[in-house]
Amino acid sequence: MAIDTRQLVRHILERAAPEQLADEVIALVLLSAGEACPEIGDMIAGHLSLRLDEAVCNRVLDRLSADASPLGRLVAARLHLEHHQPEKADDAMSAALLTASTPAPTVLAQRARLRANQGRLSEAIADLQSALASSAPYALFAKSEKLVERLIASAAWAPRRKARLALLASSTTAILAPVLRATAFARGVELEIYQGLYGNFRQEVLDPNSGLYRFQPDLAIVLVNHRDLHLGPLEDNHFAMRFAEGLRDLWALLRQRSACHIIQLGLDLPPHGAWGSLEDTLAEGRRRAIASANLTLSANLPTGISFLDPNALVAELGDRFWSDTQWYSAKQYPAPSALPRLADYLCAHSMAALGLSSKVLAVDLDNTLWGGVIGEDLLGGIRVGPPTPDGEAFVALQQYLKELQQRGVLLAVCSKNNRADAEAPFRQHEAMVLKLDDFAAFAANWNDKAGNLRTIAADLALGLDSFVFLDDNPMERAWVRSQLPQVIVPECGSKPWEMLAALERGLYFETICLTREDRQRHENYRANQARSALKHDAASLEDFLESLEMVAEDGPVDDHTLARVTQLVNKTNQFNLTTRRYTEEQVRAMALSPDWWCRWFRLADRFGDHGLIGAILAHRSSRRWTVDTWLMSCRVLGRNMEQFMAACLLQSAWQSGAAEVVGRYVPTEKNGLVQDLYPRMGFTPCHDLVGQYLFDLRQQPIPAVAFIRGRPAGSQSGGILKRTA
Amino acid sequence: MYNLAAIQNIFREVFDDESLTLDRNSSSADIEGWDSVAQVKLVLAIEEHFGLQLSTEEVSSIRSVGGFLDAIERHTRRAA
Repeated sequence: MAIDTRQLVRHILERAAPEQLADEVIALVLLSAGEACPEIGDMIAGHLSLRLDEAVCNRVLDRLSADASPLGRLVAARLHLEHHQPEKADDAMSAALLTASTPAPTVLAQRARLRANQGRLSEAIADLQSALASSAPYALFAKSEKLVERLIASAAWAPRRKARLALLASSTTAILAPVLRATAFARGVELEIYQGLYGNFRQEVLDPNSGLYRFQPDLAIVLVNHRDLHLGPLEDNHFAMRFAEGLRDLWALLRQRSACHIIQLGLDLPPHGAWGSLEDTLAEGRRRAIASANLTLSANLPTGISFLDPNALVAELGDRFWSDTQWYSAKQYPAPSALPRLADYLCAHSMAALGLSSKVLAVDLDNTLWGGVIGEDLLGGIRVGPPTPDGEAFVALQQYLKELQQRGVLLAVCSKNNRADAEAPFRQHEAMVLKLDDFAAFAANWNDKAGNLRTIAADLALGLDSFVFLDDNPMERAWVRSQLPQVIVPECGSKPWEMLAALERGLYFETICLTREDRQRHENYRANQARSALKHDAASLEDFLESLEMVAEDGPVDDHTLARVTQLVNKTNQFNLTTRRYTEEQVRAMALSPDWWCRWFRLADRFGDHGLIGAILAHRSSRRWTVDTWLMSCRVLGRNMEQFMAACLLQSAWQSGAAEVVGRYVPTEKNGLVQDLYPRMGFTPCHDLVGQYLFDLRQQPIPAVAFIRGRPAGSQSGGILKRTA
Repeated sequence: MYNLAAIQNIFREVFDDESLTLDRNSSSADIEGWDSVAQVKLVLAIEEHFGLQLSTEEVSSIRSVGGFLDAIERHTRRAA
């Protein structure tokens, strides 16, 4: 038995007596888990504000804010709106968007409206663009179209391009046109749309004085569907061929009289027919006739025409592509729920015709092109190729990238890695499809990725608005998106097959013809390009770190953490000051000894828990602490975590009465990253010993930790460590 | 009461008019722009919001806010 959650919540809210309503709501919100449904948030807030006075509502708000669940934040946002407190509503919506793994389009659109009403127009435009950019349901378009118009009319709207588009259709276009305009708006393009008379498009093309020609379109979309053929089950399939040839004649005439690019939508294949499989097998079968009409339409396309097969959408949407009721009542084709996706495809063709398709795909390396971290797992440890499932999927993703490159998309690497480590798999791992030569730019360093993308764009002499950036790490995606809003950063999950699907779904690199230049573009860029060093750019990195809401935790190494600490001791290469390896028994012995201070560290942020990511093992005497081992996973590099660890070490030494802390840096091939760690943490070099640093606890204050809040060692682990025999 | 408030919010968004105030009797004759295209948008937005599907008969006969309220009531009371 399936119960619709909305109906269930409605039932609970309506049955609750006024004095119970507040408690019921709190219980509902506390029960909610994961992504919140905006409609349920709206319903809860609506019931509260209609039935309880503002004082009681505020008490509920206080209780919900302590919990900070996504649903609680949506309820709070809606209540603040009802109580005319737009700033608080904005804060609550922003918090809800930050905690969601994928920002909810509905909430983005609500915040866009709120900001538009407050005159914050540029922010409203950015929010509404994100809301409508991908996979928003039709209802959101219906509710947002007028707001799109208001924002396009505002002074803050600065389109990448304006274009004039004519819709020539055998069905109604009144519902499609605003969806198309909103979809183009989301991509920074302003479409002025001409809708010909319903079902009259042939006459419009034939009549040289028609409104179509007066409009002077840049683009024309010809929208037909299988019903136009009026085919019986056993039609002479010459009829379908003639239909297709008739359309080709119309293209020729239109192109003679107008310089527009024509996008021809092919015919949809209905899944069933009264004649069953004979519709496919008989020479004159209906499905066979439709398929041959599509072949006639799409073969040997003349210049200036592109062909879009609607059956690609049918494959995506299934029978949601059609709505018989909408056809019979409004001559609406396809179903309204299919319109946002159809508009995606039509916009992709339009962007390609206008020369606005993306041109560069910049990719991360670790866990994006292969599984694992090359700097830690080394060549033998990364997963690419058989036998692991994700290893095989990484090969498929690389193959897809290779095919993009072969048709003119430029590939670039943008990765936090040592250059030599990053290049090794391309040079030496035999399962890698992509080689170093396949990349037009290769940035592997420890700078922030937004700065690296800027440098790559400058090197390739291409605008950042022609870039797509693929990274498995949601933090890096959010950072690049915040710094470079013109770069497309798809929400791509973290698995290779999810990343591949996100690239395919995005239609970023749609192309309508293939030129010799396309095939050669990659070689040209490689020849021209001298790889210049990438400059560091830290524009408002602080704001970004602040927004991560990081919380760190530390505790003594105990039975729960011994295995993980030992694993880190033995596999960490990069952020590792001394690279001393110990067995589990050796670490256990140190942790049990009163002469040692052995500490683990965890880090969490709004994107999730990174787990146990670092450790310090220090030998202590009454006067001096000596750091034997200090290491951290490179997953949390650039997060200020090392400062938290340093402060924790120094504080503990100070509290135990020590006078100084001494640390050593032992250089290896891999750990250049931390060669200046001790000076950065306020240690001074010892004159007599190279690589040794000292922190004088009697003279120096312990530096404050920025961006990370500390939480005392988890109460779940009492620091108990059992001696083994 | 909530249903009316929610419908009012949807109308305000579809028509981008924050000042729109509705009651049961508000009809397509009173509200500027409530034409057949707006009707499709309103119906689909209301269906999505309440998680239900109106019948073709309902869609073609509704001309007032009360019509939407009654239809929502019918669909959500089915089980009660």
